[in-house]
Amino acid sequence: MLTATDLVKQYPVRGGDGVVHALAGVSLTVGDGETLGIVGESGCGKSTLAKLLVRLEDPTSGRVDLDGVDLTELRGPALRQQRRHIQMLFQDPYSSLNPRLRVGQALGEVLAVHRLADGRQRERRVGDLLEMVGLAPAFADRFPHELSGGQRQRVGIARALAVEPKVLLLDEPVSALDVSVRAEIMNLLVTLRRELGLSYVFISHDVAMVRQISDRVAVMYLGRVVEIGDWKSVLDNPRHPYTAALRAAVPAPNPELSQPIEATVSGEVPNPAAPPSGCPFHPRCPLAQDACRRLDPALLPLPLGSGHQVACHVAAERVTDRSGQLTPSGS
Amino acid sequence: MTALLELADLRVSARSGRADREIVHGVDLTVEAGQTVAVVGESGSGKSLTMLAVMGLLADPLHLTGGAVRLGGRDLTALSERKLRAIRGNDAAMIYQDPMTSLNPLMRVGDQVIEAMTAHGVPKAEAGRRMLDLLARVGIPDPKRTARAYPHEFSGGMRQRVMIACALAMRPRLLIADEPTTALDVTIQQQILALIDELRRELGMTTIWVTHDLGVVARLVDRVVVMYAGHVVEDAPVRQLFSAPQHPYTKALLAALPDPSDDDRPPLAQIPGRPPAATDPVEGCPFRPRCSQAVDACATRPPLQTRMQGRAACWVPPHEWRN
Repeated sequence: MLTATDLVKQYPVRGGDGVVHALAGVSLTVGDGETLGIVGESGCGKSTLAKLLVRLEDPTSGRVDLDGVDLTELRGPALRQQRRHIQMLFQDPYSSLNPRLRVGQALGEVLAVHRLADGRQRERRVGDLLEMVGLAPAFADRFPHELSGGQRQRVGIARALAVEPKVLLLDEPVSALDVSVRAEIMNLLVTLRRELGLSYVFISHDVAMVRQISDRVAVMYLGRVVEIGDWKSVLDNPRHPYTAALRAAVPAPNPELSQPIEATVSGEVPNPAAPPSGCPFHPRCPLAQDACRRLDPALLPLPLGSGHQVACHVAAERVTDRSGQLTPSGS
Repeated sequence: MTALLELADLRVSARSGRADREIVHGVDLTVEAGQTVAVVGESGSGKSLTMLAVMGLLADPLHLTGGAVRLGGRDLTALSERKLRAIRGNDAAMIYQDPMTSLNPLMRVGDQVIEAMTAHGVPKAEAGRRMLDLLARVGIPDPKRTARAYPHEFSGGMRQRVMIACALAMRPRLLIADEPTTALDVTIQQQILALIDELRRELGMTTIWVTHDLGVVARLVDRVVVMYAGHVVEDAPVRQLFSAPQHPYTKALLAALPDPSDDDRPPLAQIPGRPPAATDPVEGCPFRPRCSQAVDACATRPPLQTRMQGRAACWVPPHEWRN
């Protein structure tokens, strides 16, 4: 199980003395074999979160545990060993594939670095990995530029799987792909999850794809989780006005539905170096009340249970501060 | 209704060595004044190239190798670059996915909107006044101050608003919007789509959306043109296209989308194989190698034929399709 506890990440502002609050205290868990979808727009902190989870960067505070091991404390060989268990897949693996290495060499290199197989065995393993992602063995001889976008993404997945990870962090894995190729990759991810018992963190701005693959969904805004819970509960019955706006912003491919064109949310995401007072969403929120301008709401469970949590004074029908202290409304 | 835009057997090729490689293979398309049309297709379908050809904006090695583009009855392919410039921005305007490619990074945004008008003979003082109104109309806060900013000081959404102000400054009759929101966040996407659609109504503009997003198509347009491998394969009213697709490619494309109301979340339908490479065109119907309905007749390329309220390029009518 992967657990993030109160992760905070601040970056200094270039040429100034302020800080950017990229992550303002994020806690979440991903169970074995579970897929956590993370939805959010630019500046919400989803990519920073991914970097902290794979330890590409260190958090300012907070910790990340994998199966009881605190990853933030690890250094050197112990860190390398643990890193194997969480692999990351990017939107365009082209940028992370060496253009001068054939696919087979690239996969073989990963196996060599991690001392997972040599000689004949390595060759066989490369063939197995390609087969796992639906590519013929002949692809081992191809260069990255000879591959289509979908094939490159398959190679990216094969490379991530080469070290036999427990968790795959998928950062916008299908956003650059055409509709028909996207379908192939989504289906492949679902199959691999089942066959290999993998856990996924599926990061995307595409609500439809998150709905297709997730067991649970977290919605992020300005460095916070503002809503989290079971996929159907969060996406089909959203309680946070931001989640509702995200849903409404994506038109369904059905001309029989009446889908108003009016924008549901005005304005843009605020500057994370100068976040607004109170709830970070209040300047854009159609439901904002006085308390929302003053107090940053805690992420709290909805009264009816089911693990659905929301950080909104209005949806929770109670006014809290960030720590969850109840505050009498109107004071 | 009168035709505002007519494409007749439009062909685009890429020069490669001494040979020409055809990429858009004879597009016939008529857009009536006041219509809102979507041109959809996956990468390499030729949808953007076709629209660049309409605007006379193909850049080497791409060039027009045949056919006509008539705007209001006038063949644009016969015009000099100077005459074409007078039409671009004035009668027909285009907005693109990335505003940075069409905005000048070294010029204040207000001056760019002014230039979009002075280039067509509007006196400078008048253009300056209209610029402030335009910036306000496209939702730029505090236009007097922000007009002095440079594009890099703006967010992607704000830059897109500036580009819209430039494109619509001369109130063109035809607007071509080529994936104008693809690079933006979804809430900003919605704002920009709403803005363009509002302005379209206000100005009575004929609008062509080039997009891969079938949700946007379902919500915004009257009619859909589907392109595949440089060919128009279907052209139909939007409701017919979604409820009764007349080409197997259209049907497969729609099936590859997740159904947002299906709680079982079944695997998405896939289309076997890949589109043909431009270097290796398919004989006959371009979709034949991937088509579940292909018959012997498909070795000959099917012409666009009337099907219900639209047209489709397929020898096999839907009632004969196997499942």
